[in-house]
Amino acid sequence: MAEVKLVNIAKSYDQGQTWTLKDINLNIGNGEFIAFIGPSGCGKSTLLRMICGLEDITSGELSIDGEKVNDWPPNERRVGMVFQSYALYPHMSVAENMAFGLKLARAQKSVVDERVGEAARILQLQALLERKPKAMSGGQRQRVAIGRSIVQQPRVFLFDEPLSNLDVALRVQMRQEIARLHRRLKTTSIYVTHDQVEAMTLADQIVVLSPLAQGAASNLEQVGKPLELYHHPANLFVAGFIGSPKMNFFDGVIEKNGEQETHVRLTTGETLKACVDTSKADPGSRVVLGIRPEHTLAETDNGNAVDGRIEALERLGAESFIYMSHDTIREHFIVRVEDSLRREEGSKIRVELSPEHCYLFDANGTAFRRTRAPEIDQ
Amino acid sequence: MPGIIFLNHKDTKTQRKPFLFAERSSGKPGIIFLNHKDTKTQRKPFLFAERSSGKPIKNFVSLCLCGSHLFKAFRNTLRAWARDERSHTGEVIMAMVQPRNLQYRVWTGRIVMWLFLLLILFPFFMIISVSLRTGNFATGSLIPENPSLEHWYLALGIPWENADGSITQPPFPVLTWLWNSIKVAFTSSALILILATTGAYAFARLRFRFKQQMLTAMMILQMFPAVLALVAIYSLFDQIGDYIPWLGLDRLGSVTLAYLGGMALHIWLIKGYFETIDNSLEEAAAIDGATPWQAFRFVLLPLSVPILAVVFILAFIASIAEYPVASVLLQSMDNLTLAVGSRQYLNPQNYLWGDFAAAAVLSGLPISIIFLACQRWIVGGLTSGGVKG
Repeated sequence: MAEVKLVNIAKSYDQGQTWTLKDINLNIGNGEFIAFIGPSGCGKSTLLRMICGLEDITSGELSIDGEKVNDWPPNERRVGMVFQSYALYPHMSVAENMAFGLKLARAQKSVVDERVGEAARILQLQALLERKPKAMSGGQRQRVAIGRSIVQQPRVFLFDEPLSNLDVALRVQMRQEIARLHRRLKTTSIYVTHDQVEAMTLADQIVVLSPLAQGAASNLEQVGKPLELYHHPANLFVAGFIGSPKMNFFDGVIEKNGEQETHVRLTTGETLKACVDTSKADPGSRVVLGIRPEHTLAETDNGNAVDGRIEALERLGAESFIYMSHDTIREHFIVRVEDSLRREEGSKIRVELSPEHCYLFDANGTAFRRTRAPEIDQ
Repeated sequence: MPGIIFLNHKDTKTQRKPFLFAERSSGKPGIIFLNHKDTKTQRKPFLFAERSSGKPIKNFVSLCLCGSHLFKAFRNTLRAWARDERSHTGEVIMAMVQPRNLQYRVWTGRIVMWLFLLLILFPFFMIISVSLRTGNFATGSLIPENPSLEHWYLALGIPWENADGSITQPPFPVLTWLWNSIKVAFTSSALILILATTGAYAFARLRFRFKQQMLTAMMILQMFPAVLALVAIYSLFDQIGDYIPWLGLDRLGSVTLAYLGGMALHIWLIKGYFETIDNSLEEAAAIDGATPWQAFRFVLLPLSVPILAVVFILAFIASIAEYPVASVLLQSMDNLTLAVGSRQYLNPQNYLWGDFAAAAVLSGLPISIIFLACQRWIVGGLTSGGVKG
């Protein structure tokens, strides 16, 4: 177990002409489970590979347990990694796969047997120890890959999208197994994924990364607990990335600012209230108002509603999503309803956007503080 | 115990034609083939046999032809049966469709293969025939009229007593030549294997300047046959010999070293194979605590055994058969390789075809042995299962 500290980490593949990662600062505490999440190309896997030593660190400082390990080769860092592709040694049996690292370290046979046996027991692999990887299913292979890192008793576990090659049912099952494993071993873990459900359910803290924009200072968008990211996203990117379906965004300007409540006038002329603190912003400045599909109320008007036309319907049984059109909307306007009543495509309905569920972002995308959202324990 | 029944009429449910059924038979294991005609085409099923109550399957050829299908079906049946005895009763395991013209196709294929084989084998039989003829004649019938072991005795270094009582001494040290050939071929192939493997690793996995240029240069240089450089090779080893005697002219060391020059092709071959092995395996090894050398030795090399065996065989054959370079570098009778030595039998006025043929067959011996020894390493599918495809 160990603390991992990243200070001003940056990565460039072409001597500083273009940057993949810039100015990443993170403190990962002992025993914490951290998830890196972001869209493809945001550098989350690269960051993970830099921590385990498979990629060079262009600049910045990486320390594990207080020791600067920037220039240590991967075999000396004592980290364990689970690859997306499993990367099992095909010519070795399950037991040999798991014992490989210990044998390289010239561990005693009794120690090897004990640790392999223990890992096999935890992961329910006892019956498969003599099998070769090709005779196993995807889920079993991934369990072996996890077992291979367990036996090494690494200071940090690194998971590089370990479940994305599995089918949905198996993914859910393996997710729970990883959670169980972490509760049991309490080893510091870093988990890279593009699946926010995995991140939300597994992680103590989530690190949201974005593809580095031209001239941006950093692509680290926000670090926080899962629900903190959901209720208090730091900016437009995080707000749009966390939550499924995506948050709806309306363009508008502040009509009346305030400490508890803000009036926003959409470009269509409609005025909406939002429970956010805009005391530091000026009336008339451009803002983006956001609301999640699950917080909209269709065919309701409590005084904070907009009109829209139904474009399409998605009925999922337990819930339905109405795709609407509205003149000030960015990308899409999705309304979630629980009933599956028949609604006409093309008809107009009114949708209530409750003020306490509204988010507000300034022209740079930075979020205003929400005044009525649940507080998250720090 | 389930049996297997081949039916060639339509399945009542699916209306598909021939099916392989698994059925619980009356406690007896066995394969049961029925001889029903197809209801529509009135054709007999391709596979037929009586009930397997101890009687042999009649059409054995047809059984062999669909052997793998049959084996898989039988295995699946047994597996299904092992899982749950009841659930599969009467269940359709797999469709067995045997088109009628399959038989003709198979026979045509066989005939072509035999013709092809004859084409390859004929020269070989000729050489054996020549080596067993009395006297030294290149032409004659394929089966010698009065066979004699004369040439074989002489090739193996045993004096031969002629019919008139005179003794012919072996003219040349053929076994010494053979031994020289084996030494050179084995040493050079082993060195080629070691250097080409490590070189290919560098080209496949490491990043360094001029990598692409070096690869291209190797490829281009390899296109010129070594014969073009004979003069250069001769004078080079002449010079080297002044400083390192065992690498000089007329020493086997020089030939061995010269043969290493053919390595570029092998580097390309092995590099191509290495590139098919997922890099993440070595990365996993590195995280498991392996140094780059250990990752190479314990992960990459064991997975590359098939290509290493191929390269070893190719290098071995090439150096056993090589003539021009060896003929220039080697001079004294006891230092020749078999390929060069055999030429001694063919004097302008006196072609000793029989002795030559015996020596030629001998030179094939080490190649065959190496090939048989390496064959078990040439297998596919070594890397399957390691990474998700």
